[in-house]
Amino acid sequence: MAAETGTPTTLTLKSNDDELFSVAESAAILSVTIRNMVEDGCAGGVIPLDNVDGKTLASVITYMNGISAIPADEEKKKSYRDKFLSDKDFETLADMVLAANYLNMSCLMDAVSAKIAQVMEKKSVGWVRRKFGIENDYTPEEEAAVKEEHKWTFEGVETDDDN
Amino acid sequence: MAAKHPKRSTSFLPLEIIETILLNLPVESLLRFKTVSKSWNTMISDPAFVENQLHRSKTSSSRNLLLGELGFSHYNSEDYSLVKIDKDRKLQTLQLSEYPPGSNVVLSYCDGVLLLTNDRQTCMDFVLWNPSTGTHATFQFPYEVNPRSQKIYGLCHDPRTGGFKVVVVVCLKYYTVYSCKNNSWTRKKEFGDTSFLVVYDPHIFVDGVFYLLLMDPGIYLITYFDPVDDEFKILRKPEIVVDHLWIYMADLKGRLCVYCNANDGRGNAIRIWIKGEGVGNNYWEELITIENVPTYIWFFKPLCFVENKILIQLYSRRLVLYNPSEKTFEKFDIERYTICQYFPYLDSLIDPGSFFPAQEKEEVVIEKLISCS
Repeated sequence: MAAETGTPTTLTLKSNDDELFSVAESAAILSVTIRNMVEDGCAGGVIPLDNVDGKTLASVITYMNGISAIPADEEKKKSYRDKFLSDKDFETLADMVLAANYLNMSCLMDAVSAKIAQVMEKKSVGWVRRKFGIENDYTPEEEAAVKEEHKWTFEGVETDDDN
Repeated sequence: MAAKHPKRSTSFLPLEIIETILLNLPVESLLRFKTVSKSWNTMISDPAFVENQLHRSKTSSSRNLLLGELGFSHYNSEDYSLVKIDKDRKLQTLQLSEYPPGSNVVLSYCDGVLLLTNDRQTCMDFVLWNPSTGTHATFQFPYEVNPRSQKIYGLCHDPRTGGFKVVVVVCLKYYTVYSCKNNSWTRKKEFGDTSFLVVYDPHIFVDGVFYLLLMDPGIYLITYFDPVDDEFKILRKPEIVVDHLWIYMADLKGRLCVYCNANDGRGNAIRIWIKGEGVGNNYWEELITIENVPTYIWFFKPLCFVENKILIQLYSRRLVLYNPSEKTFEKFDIERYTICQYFPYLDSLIDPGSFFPAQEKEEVVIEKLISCS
């Protein structure tokens, strides 16, 4: 538990590629996973986060610091989240959604999921398969039948840019 | 870990994370992505996913979809348009949906499903239609009714009882309930010797029940139809609303609201109360007082919240956004066309046909006949 010394407690987080990060405890406990570790007294040394790489963890910590600096104002928090995610590409967002899920950060999880949905909303089926790494397990006949059933939803789809 | 590979795909996203992402998508995209793979199709078609998607649309902070008949000056088309409204007062047409053949009178709506008929006078044939998925189901009214009788139609979708129920109130004699699940109508239920009048049409569907405003000489009653026992029940009004005051109902934020003139010296002000969530909850709190209302209350209809603003229909065709911090009404730039008959709309995957008892497809029956012979 945080000692009542007046100086903010700092935690050290370690990514799965062995990068170390310092972060204020007050910001880091936005992650329920980290908060539980702190409460269980495991935060004395270094907190290993086996499912998050250094690049993603750096980004998540930027978010933790940014959002915890905003006072309780849901509108401002929302616009911070929008701005934070605005320039992220699909691969980064996919890494972030995994990290947010592992770290149990519901606000980040919701925001990244919504952002990914916004990116894929007008995309083609082929784009989604490539980006999510999904194998088409339909036979050509089956695929044509499913497509035929919802033919009109294929109008107005963006041409693939694969960005 | 996969993260150490320089080149990798994101196929490791577990299905439950994919589900969380997909729940943010509009129905049109979800239907298209059924083609991605068999497992995506199974997930999107799963009744639990359909319910989750519906719940999400309902609780979203901006339920900014309207379904309307699009008209170009004096010409009204045969189609419905799904229109999205953003807080910058832009209207974006998302989708045009054709009516199921022959049925173009909207009687009622709830959870993204419309109750239609072919003829408002006779109303013998009904269609349940989801414009987002284009699916529909049909059924018939079994009783003879005097075409001149006032009829009120209610539609409710209740996850507790499973499926849709259609209520037909033949004023002021009886009502009868059609359960899609059982594919049958109840016997006529008499109202007894009450002398109330229905003063609000259509009803408001929230909390899994629908609310009707009735007038028992001089006194307004908020009643609701409870699909659990097919009975009409009375709801307590906000205490401050005195009996003789004209009240109106609306669905804002997925909760029942009532509104009336403020009558407190603030000129044209309308006060709105909002009821606690859930059918058994009769706790009312004041939501907002709308000031500087440019018209009478009967030409004023709040439709939905668009972020922190309220979309209001003035007269019958004008849309404005009320800005609570400025207390002003912002106009829309929609001179190019008008939309008549607006419905605050929910985008849902519900297939009305799925709530009817499963019927053997003709081919299956034929196959069985062949195998028997």
